[in-house]
Amino acid sequence: MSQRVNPELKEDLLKYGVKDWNDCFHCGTCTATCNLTDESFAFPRKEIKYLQMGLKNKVAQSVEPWLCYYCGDCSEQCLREAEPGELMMSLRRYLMSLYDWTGISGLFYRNKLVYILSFFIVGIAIMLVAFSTKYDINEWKSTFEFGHLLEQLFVAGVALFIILPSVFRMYWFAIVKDKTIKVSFIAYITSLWELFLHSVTQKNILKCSNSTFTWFRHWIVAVSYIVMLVMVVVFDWFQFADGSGAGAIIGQIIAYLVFGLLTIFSGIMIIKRISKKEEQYKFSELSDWFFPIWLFLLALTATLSFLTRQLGIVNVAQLIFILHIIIIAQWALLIVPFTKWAHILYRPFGIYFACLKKSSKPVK
Amino acid sequence: MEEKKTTVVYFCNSLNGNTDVINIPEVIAYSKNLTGVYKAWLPDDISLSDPEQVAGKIEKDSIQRIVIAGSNPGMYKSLFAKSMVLAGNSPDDVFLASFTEYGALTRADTNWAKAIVACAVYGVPVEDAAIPDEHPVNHETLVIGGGIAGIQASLEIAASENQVYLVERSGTIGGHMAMFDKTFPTLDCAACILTPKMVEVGQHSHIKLMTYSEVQEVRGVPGNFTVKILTKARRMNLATCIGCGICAEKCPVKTPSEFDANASLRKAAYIPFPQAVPNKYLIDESVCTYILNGKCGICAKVCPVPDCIDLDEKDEVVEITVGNIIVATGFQPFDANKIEQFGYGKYPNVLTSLELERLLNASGPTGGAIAKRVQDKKGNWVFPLEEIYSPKSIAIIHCIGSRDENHNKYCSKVCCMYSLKLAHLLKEKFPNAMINEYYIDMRAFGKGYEEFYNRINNEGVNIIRGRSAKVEENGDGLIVRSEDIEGGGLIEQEADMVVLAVGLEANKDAAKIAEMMGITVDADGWFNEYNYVSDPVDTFSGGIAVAGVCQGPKDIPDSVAQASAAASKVLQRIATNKIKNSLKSVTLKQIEDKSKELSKLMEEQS
Repeated sequence: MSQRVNPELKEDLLKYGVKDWNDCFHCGTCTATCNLTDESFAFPRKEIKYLQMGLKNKVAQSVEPWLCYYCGDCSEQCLREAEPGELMMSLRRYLMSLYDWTGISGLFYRNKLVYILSFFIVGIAIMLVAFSTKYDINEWKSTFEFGHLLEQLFVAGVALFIILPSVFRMYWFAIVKDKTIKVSFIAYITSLWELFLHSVTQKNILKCSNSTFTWFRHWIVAVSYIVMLVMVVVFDWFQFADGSGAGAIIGQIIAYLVFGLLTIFSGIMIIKRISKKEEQYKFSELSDWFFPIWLFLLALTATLSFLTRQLGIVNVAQLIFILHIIIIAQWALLIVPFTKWAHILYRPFGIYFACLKKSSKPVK
Repeated sequence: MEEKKTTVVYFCNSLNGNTDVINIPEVIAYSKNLTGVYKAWLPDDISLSDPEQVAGKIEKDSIQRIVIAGSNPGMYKSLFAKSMVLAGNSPDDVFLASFTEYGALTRADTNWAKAIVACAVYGVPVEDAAIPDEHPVNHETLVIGGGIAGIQASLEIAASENQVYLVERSGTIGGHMAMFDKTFPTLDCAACILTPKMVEVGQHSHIKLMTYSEVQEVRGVPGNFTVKILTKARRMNLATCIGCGICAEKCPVKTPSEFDANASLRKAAYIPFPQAVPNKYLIDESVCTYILNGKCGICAKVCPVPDCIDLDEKDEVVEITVGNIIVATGFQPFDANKIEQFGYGKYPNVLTSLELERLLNASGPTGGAIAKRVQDKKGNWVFPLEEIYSPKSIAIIHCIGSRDENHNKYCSKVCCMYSLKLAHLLKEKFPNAMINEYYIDMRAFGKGYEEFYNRINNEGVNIIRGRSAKVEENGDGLIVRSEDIEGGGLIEQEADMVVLAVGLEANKDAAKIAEMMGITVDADGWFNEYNYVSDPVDTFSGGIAVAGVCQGPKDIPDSVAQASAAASKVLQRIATNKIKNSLKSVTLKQIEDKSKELSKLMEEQS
């Protein structure tokens, strides 16, 4: 079957952070350097070829970008300084925009101004909503109740209307539209283990060179984040601050541990992006900055409002909490569904779909 | 042209990032004042100029000539020629002022850039306008470097019965070619071609061979250079040494042999190789224990010729006068240690191509067999005869240090072909061995080269597109990991031996030599020629020509051809007894006046 060439793909990808698609002269160094490649999934050179040729369908069908953890070896050894690692990163951004049915993701990646403005709009909107609810925003306990309700709404809404459809669209592009494969029902079941394993451990990072600390950092952030999410949404976490007894103390310890770790490690992520010493932090698009910064602010305001509420300085706690709610709204409505956060799902699903592709029978 | 202003000078901003070396605003200001120039300017992006728009301007301002100036003005010629045609003018009235062609860029010379623009504005070729004054010529010639290029140039000039001084840094002439087993694509034995030439040089009555010597200083003007040559102490008498080799036999000091690409050991008292010219021994002062700390002196005691060995001999400086100089200083191979992922220096059986060349050579350390590299008792890495084996799988990796932004950006030109040759020689010796070549692009550019590639391909060598990126140890052997771009997917080859096709690099002291000679080197360290296309042997300094790889990577046939060309340039000057002064001696004013005069003359004629 022939592939349709889309001449605009290259120009498009420039907006997603591709440096220069022409530099590559296809020596294969990047692919051979990469520790994550195998017979079935050889990247990044192949992806560069798709891009140079404008094979949009091939790009849409590929799960390879989600298999790459950007250790930067390929960029370091590239004979042409073509930055294959950053190209894979850009493809992840592009694929995200492709999976998102609303088109907002692509808009955010392509247009920095819109992205920044939307942060302001969400912030102001939250303030407006806060002052026009039945909750009395001046009464601190009411503020916290209101905040908790908002958090639950955000999570449920975003998961239902954006994230679920996105993952389905990913499945649609990667598996259904790939006419070269036919996946058996059994493969869907047997590969589920991989989905679970990689969601929980992210152990593929360890295959990258000198990656033990990178993996550790990433894993701690992921686990802390999930714990925080569960605490916030399922339990009303502030009940731990007020309560006494063994349950509350355990809750407090976990809360401080999780918030503290998130603050520290997202801080490290920001510093690494500023210093640009490591290959994977050399180039930062706006979304790469917002992700660690908002995570940092999120964890920091959570810690402070939790601490002040526990100490009984309720007015301060309330103020910080309002700030926290604004940050959480921006995080949950802008970063989670439309930009970098979503990799938390796409990566394990990428590995899952890769397993499906591998175990599938080729269509003749 | 007199009072009417009908010429526009466009500057292109693509100076290859070299904007700091030439003061472009100054050149633009200068161009505006040239006779007949209506406008001189630097558009934001000349490549975006619309031919129809330009044509409109040409008509409006009644422009008749366009000059494009910059480092690569030729790129835009078609664009402006089109505009001229659209405006009803002749496309021949687009003139180019290329700063790269006449060395303004490489010499960072703003005045030269101005001169080049002036010539283009007046429509006069630079070489017609920039004519240096002439000197009479001393008929003796100095050739620096005793590789194949230096040998060829010396023989050509000496054949006309003019005196040649051939200065060579090492103890023998022959250079890199003497180390090779076969030459591509004809698979001639390198020594069979080279050795007779070397002997001829040694015996020629018109060649004064000065080995183990270095040029220290060059003074004077073209046609009459005074050259100081440092002749290092051989510590053996060139006239009386009979080449018996007893000194080397008894010498207790061992050191890696340069001639064997460090694949074997030689003594401190040594002859570089058995066919060396002059066929005389010498003593390596950097390792001889007598010279280092006054102990030993055995060689002097065992030498059968009285007073032949003088361990206390001192270096000598000789002064000669010559009319012409040919620089043929060659290259150095890329240092494979610089690219860690291929494991050179870490895994003993990762070899450079030059090391393999010596192993395959019947006169090499293993007599033409392949051996494992092991460490001897003293810690030297050698290929002992006990370790000879038949490799079952060999990987040859191309482009080591070449075409690489991290190392040398250029293509070294010879590696594809010599790798194919090495594959052939290995296949000949081990027909059942798997030989894989990992390449980026196969550059078989010369006469008979594509046929050679096809031949090797048909011999059963696997030629794989994908340069590979990693060599790792795997038990006794090695594993090469590469993408197989044409076959698809990744491949891992178990190999007994990995050969790295190292590229060519300018000698590390090339810039120093250039400074001494008053010539220039380019960004990669190769010597600059007068004009890459039309005069690739002369330099901007009159009386100095370049030949061989020192001017840029090339293979043996090209080196020989260029050496003969350099010799013909020299002989031309000797025959006419005239030599042009250095181009630098011509002033901007002189070029300007001359080109104006010539352009007037041309106008009158037409």
